[in-house]
Amino acid sequence: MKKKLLGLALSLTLVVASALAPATVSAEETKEPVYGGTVRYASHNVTSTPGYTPENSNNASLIYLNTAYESLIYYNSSGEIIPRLATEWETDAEEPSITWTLREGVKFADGTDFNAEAVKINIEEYQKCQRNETANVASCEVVDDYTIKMVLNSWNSSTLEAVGFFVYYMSPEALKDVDTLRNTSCGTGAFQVTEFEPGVSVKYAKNENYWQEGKPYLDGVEMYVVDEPTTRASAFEAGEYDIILMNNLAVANDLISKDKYVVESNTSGQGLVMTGIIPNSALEGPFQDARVRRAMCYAIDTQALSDAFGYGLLKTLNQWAAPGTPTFDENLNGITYNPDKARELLAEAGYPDGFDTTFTTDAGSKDYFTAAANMLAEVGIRCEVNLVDESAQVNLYSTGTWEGIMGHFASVAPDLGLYMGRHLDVDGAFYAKGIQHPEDHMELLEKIRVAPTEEEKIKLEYEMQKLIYDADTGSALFGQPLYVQNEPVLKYDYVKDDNRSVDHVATWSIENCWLDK
Amino acid sequence: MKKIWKKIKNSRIVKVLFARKAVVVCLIILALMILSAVFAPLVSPYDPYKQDLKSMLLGISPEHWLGTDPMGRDLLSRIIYGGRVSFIVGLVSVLVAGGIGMILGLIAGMAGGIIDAFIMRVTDAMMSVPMIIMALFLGSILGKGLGNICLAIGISMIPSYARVTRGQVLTVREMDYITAGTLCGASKLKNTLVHILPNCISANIVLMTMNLGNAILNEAALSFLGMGINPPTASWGSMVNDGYKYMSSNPVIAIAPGVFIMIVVLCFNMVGDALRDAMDPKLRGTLGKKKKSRKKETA
Amino acid sequence: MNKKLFKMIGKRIVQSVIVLFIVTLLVFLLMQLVPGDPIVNFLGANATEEQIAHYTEMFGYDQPALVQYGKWIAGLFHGEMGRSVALQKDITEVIFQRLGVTLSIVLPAFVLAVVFGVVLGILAAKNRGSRLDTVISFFANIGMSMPMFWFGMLLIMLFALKLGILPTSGLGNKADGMWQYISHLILPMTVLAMGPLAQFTRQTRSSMLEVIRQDYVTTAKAKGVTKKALTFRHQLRNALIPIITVMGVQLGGMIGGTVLVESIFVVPGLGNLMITAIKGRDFMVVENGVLIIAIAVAVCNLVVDILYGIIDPRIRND
Repeated sequence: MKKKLLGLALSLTLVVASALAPATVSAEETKEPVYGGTVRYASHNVTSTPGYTPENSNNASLIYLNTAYESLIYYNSSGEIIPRLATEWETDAEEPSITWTLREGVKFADGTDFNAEAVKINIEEYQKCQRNETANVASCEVVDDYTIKMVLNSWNSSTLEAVGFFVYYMSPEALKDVDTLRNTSCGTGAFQVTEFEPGVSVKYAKNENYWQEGKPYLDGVEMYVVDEPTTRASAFEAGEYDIILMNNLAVANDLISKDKYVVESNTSGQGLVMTGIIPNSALEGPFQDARVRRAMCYAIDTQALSDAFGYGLLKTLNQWAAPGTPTFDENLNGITYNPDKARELLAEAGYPDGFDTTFTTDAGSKDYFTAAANMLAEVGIRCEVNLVDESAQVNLYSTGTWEGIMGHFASVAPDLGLYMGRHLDVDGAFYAKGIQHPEDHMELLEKIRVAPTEEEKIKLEYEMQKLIYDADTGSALFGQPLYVQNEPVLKYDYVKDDNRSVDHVATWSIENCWLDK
Repeated sequence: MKKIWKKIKNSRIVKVLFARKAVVVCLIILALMILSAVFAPLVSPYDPYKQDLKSMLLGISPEHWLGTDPMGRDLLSRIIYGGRVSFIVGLVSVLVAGGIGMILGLIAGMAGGIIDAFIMRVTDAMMSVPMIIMALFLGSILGKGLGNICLAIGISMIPSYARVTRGQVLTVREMDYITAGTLCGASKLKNTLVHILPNCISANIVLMTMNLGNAILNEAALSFLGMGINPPTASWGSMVNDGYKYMSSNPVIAIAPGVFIMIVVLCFNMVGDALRDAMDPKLRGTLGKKKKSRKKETA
Repeated sequence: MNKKLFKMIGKRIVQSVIVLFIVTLLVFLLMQLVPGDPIVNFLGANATEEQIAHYTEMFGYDQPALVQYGKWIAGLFHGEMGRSVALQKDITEVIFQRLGVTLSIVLPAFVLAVVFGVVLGILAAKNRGSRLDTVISFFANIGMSMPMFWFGMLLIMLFALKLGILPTSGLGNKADGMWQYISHLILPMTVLAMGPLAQFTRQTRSSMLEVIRQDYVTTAKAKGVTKKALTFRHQLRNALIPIITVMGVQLGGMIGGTVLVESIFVVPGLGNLMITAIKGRDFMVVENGVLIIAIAVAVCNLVVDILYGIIDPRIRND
C-alpha cells in the first residue's frame, strides 16, 4: 500500500508564509523587515563542531546546525511536518522505503549543487558515524537529480522524521576535508561560520548563495556559550546579548517579571524534554514491586511543586507525552496526589513503616527534587538526597546503577516507539539497565514500531500509556512524570521573527530574523 | 587550681592573644558563632529544613529577619545551621590535613634519603595542582556527603603541613638536647616522640588556625562549582551559590551567607596571626616594647 | 653569578622534571577513579550503544589504562597532547590559546598586586600604629577573607548591573577598541588580584618591620643615609627576600585561582576550559591542563629560586 503525504499544498503554504513573514506575527509586527545588523545570542548549549553535522547528536547543538544547515523537512508551530529541502515525499511500508523529491535550485555555500547525489553522500556519512537516525536506511538509490529513494531495513514509522529532520546536509566538496569542515561550515543555510572558538562562541556571516530570495535580513549572527544562568541573565540585562535561552526557571522568572522583555516558548511539542523521577526497579529492593512504585507516584504533589518552582512556566504531566500532542491520551486514568493511597499501597506491599532510600539529583533539579523528597518522607519513603554533577548523573542512568530514585529526563516528542524505546528496550542506552522489562511491555513496543498507519500507531501508543501510567494497574516503570521543560527564550522587542524554540525546542528560523532598531 | 589559672593567665600565648584589642574582638565573635552553631536548635528562630512553598522568597521582616529562601525556609535559621557545616568542614579538614601531613613530614624528616625525597616530590606534585582542582577531583571521586567534602579539602591541603613538619624535624634534630638524648642512649623513636613531636605540633597548630579560614573558603568555592554539600543540609558556601540565582531580585539570600563567611575567615586569620607571633621565637621579648620604640623613631 | 648558583638551578630543574612526572601519574590515576565517561557525555541523550562504541574505539578509551597513559606520555615527547572528545580538536591548539587568555589576566593582576601590595605594605610599616596602618591592615585582612566568587558577584552587581559602567562577562575584542578590551578585564583582574594584594601588603609590612628593627639599619642611619635611600636601598632590599617567596607561591596560586574567576566572568581561559573539561569528563584535556598548570608553577618556583640566589647575599657569596 502506498500513501502519499503532504505535497504541493504544504510547500505552497510555506512559500506564502515565508514571503509574508512567519505565521506567528501579531498585528503590530507587520512592519517590513529591515536589512542589516547582527544578532547576539547566548545560551548554555555547546557544540563540538558547528560544521561537521553528524557529530552533533544531541538536541542542544541543533541550534548551531540550524543556522548554517538545513534538513529535508521542518516543523511548523503546531508540530506538523513541513517541507524544507525536500518538497514532497512518499512512504511505502510494504517495500519498505521513502522516496524524496528535492527542492531545485538550492546551492551549498561553496556553490556546489544540492541534489540527490549530495543527499546520498550525506546519509552515508551519517551512517559512518553510527548515527541511530540513519541506521534503518539500507541503501540510497539516486532516481534522478532531484529524486532519491531510501530503502529501509524494516518498516518503522519513526524513520521519516529521523532521516528527514535530523540529517543536516553538507556540501560533498567540503566533506572531502572533514578536519577543515569541523571548524567552518558549508551548508545550504542562511548563514555560514566565520569564526569558531570551541566552548566560547560561534560567529556566522550571511550566506550570499542562500536559496530563499531576499533572505536573510541580518548581516551576521553571533552565538555565545555562557554556562552560568545568572551571568547570562546579567549580561542580557546589561544589553550584551539580544536574545538568550534561559534554562534556569528562577532566573527566567526574575527576568520575565520585569516586563521589559519578549518571552517566547515552544508551541509545537517538538524536541520537548520531560522531567520525572524514576525508581530503580532492576536492583534488589522495595521498588521491584509495582505497588511501591505507584505509592511513590501518589506521594508527589506534582502541581504544588511545579507551581512553586516553575513560576507558571512548567506544564505538569501524568504520562509520557506533552498535553496537546498526538500521543497524549486525555482520557488516561493517571495518578494524582493522594498520600493516604500511597501509605495504603506501601502497607499492602509490606512496608507499613516505610523504608529508607536514596534520591540522586544534579544541581539543576536540586530545589525541585529536594522538595519532592520531603513529600516522599511524609508517606514513609525516607530519602537521603545525593547531589551529583551532571556527568556523574549521566553515568548513573547510562549504566542503570543508581540506587533508589533519580531524575528521569526523556524526550516526549510524539513518537513512543522511538523515544520510549530508547529507555524501555533491554539494551537501551539510558535508564534501561535500571528498570525491569516485562514481556507485555516489550511486545507492545514492537507493535508500535511496525504499525503501518498513523492511527494504528496512536491507538497502540495510548495502550502503552495505560500499561505504564494507569493509576490502579500501571507498572509505573518510569516512576512519576512531573513536567515538560519549556525553557523560555527572552529577547529584546527589536528582535523580530527569529521563532527561536517555537517550531522545535532546539531551532530557530534565523533566515527570517531582522532587527527593528 | 588558682595556680594553674595564674599560669595560663601569665603564659605568653594568652598575653599575646589578649594584648591586641582586635584579636579579642575576633575571639569573642568566633566564640559567639561557634556557640550558636553548637546550640543551633535553641538559637535559631525556625526549623531550617521546614519548607513552606507558600512563603517563598519573602523579604526582610520582623518574622524573618533575613527573609526566606526559594523553598520558604527561614534564611537566618539556615545560616545558623549552615555555620555548623562550615565550622565542621573547616575543623575536620584542617585536622585531616594536619594529621596526615604531620605523619608524612615526620617520616620524611626522620628517615631522610630516598623516602624523604619521594615524600617531598609527591607533596611538590600535589602542590603544583591548584588546590581547588585537586579538591574537585577528590570530591567527584569520593562523592558528596559532609565527611567526603572534609576529606577532599583536607587531602588537598596536606602538602604544606608535611613541609612545615619536615622543616621542624630537621631543625630540632640538630639541636643539642636531641643529640645529648641520643648519646644518653635514648632510642630514636622515643627521641622523636618526646622532643620533636611537641615542637612540630605547635608549628602545625599555628598553621591549622591560619588554614581554618582557607578550608572554609575552599568549601565555599567547591559549592560554587556545584560540588558542595548534599541538600537539604546547607553550608554558607552552598547558600551563596543557591542565592546567586536570585541576585537581581533578592540579593540578601546570596550576600548574607557571604558576609558570615568573610567574618569567620577574618577572625580565624587574625587569631592565627596572633598565635604565630606568640609562638615565633624571633619576636620573643619584643612584646610590649613595640610602642616605645616607635615613639623614639618619630621623635 | 657563580658556579654554585648554576649548580643549584640545575638541581632544581631535575627536581622539577621528577615532580612533573609524578603530576602526570597522579592526575591520570585520579581521572581513572572519577566516575563518568567522556564519550557518553559528548554524544548526549540520543546516543545509541553502537555510536558510543564507535567513538570509544576512535578515541582509544577502550584500551587498558596503562596503554592510555603510555600513549599520552609518548605523545608529549612529540609535542602532541591528544584529541579532546568534547571539542573534537587537537588539545595542543586549544590549550595554548586558552593559556594566552589566562596569562593576559594573571600577569597584569599579578603586577597590580605586587605594586600596590608592596607600596601599601611600606606605607603601613613606615607609619606603624597610625590610623593609616590600621586602615591598610584592616583592608588587607578583609581582602584575604572574602570568598572570591562572592566578591566577583558583588562587583558584577555594582559595576555592571547597578552602575552599568563595566561589562558583566566575556572577553572584549581588540578590534572594537582598546577600552572594549580593557573594560572586560577590569573586574576579573580585580577579583584575582584581591587576595594576593592583601598577602603582599601583609608580608611587606611585617618583613619591613623586622628589618627596621635590625642593627644595620641603625648603623646606616648613624652614617647619615637619607631616609628615602634607607627605605629603598637598605630596608626594602632585605625585606624583599620573604616577599619574593610569597610572590612565587601567589603567582602559582593565581594561575589556579583563575578557575573560579574565569567561571564567574565567563572568560575563555585555561581555568574555564578545565572546569568544562572536568564537568564533561574530557579526561585528556583535564590531564594536559593540569600538566600545563604544574609546569607554570614549576617555572614560577624556579624563577623565585634564581631571584633568591641573586638577592640574598648569603646564598650569593657562600
